[in-house]
Amino acid sequence: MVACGREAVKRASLRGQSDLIGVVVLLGAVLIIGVAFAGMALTSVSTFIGVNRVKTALSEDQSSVFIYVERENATHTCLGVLRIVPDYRVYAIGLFTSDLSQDLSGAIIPPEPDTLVPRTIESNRIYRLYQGEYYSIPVKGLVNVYFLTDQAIRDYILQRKPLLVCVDKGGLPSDGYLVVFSFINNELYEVRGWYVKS
Amino acid sequence: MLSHKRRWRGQVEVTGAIIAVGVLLLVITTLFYSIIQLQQATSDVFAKRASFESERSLERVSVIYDPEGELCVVKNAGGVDIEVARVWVSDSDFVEEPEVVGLPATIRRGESISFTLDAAPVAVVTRRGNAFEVRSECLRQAAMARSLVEVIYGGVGGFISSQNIIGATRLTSDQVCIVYEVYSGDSKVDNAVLVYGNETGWIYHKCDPNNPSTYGWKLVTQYSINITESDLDTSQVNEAVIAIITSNSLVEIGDPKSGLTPVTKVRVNLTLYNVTRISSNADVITVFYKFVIQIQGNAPPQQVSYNPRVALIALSSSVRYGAPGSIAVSSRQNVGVVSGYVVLPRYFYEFQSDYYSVEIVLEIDTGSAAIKIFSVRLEYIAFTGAEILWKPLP
Repeated sequence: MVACGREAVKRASLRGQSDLIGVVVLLGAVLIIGVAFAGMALTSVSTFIGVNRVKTALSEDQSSVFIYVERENATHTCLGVLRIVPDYRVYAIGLFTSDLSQDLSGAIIPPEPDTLVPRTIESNRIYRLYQGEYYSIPVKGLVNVYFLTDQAIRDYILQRKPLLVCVDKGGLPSDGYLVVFSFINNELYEVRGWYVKS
Repeated sequence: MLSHKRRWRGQVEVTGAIIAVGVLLLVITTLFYSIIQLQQATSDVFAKRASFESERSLERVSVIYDPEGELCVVKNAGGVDIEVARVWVSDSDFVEEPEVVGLPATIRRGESISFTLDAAPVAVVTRRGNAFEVRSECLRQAAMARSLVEVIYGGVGGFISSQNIIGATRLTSDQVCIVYEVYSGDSKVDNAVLVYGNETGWIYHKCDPNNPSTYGWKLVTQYSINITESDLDTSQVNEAVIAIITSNSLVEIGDPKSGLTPVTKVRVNLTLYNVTRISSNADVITVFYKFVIQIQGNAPPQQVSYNPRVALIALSSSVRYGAPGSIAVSSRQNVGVVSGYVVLPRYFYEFQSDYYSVEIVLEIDTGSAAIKIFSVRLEYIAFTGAEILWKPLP
């Protein structure tokens, strides 16, 4: 009778352990699946938010940056580049042939000192805007662009004052296309462009 | 035993479901917030852009040339104050500080700033990205104004304004030099003089073109005047009278005291020295004239023969371009009014742009000793197509 009672207790204990292990395994599985799902979801959300932030910034730039012809004569065209909402953004200016197949930035003349600084950047980090979408530019290799200096951003972009950029028409083999790029995540995105007649 | 296991499984499923729902809620909320933020940012920027475009279109600068002061006036004629970003002072140079060229940093609505033509900026650039041309617009208006002055005052456009009539104050101005010769029959009358009666009394004119101090008119002091009317045809415009100097008085040409009687044939040559400038815009020069003649005798003045001629004489070359004039005669109580004109087309005569003297010759022949010429007077000469250089008396 006593042996029978012990046997029963032992069996019951084994069942309890088995149940506990089952619960732990189930909980672990749920947690793993839950965390994995949450991680995937949050990664997707983070990516979405990141892309959205870039899109927001580019959308703001496309709406805020404004180009106009300030002076033009037989040899030069001077364009004014204005950001209508003062905000600290880094911009670069490039000049290409109208199909963006050739870099013509040598014809850019920064008329005011310490406003533009030349810099080369890989063409696969430069995107042109076409019908609302961004595409890689046809130019291969390194591309010369002019970045706005901190002083130019302080004196012009943050002051809502137009920055002057002149183009030497003599340096254009054909009509040129002056592009204002926004520098985001180490990449250049076209926000506004202007065709310059040679 | 089985129900115990099911209870545990149920708890785990509920816990899992709570976690899954929580994660889903977090994701949805984040996505929703992100989209809302994007929409808000986009609409905010678009609203600012719309406002900017509206303000930009309200910027207006009117550039007006003031011909009297020869000033270029820049006026903010728009609906918003204009903040000046840059001023172009030449085709290649600009200044960032508008005060340097006399412009305020902000041009208030309705505010005007004046510049001389030389000091006028080439262009004014605003902070809203408008570039307004100033100097070229002023120069264009100045050229137009000059051309308008030429058209209106010089009569280039083919009509006469009061500014291109030589009569009254312009006829008696200090810049006048009229060289005149008077012939009675074929004899030159040496003691002829041109006189004019105005509110100061009678004045006379006798000038030498080479001596500017003789230009203009002087008051007659040493002679008594035996001329009764200063406005013979009562047109309210006095005439310059051909008078003859006698020993102590000035008389009209037909006055018995002149010693010329009977005067039946008279020729008067009037050369208005350096009176006009013909510009390259001129096409047809027309010279109008009006003489007033007094006839004594039975014949009415229109039966008398009048023969006017006009010539332009270039100052630099002395080349003459002459033509006979037309006449119209009206009369009233022996007073004849001889008016007419001479047309000188530029491309017929091929005269050049230059300064010119104008010679007007009037021959009067009564044809009968019974009809005598008593008075010969000039009321006005007018030009179209040429500018008159003599300035009127103030």
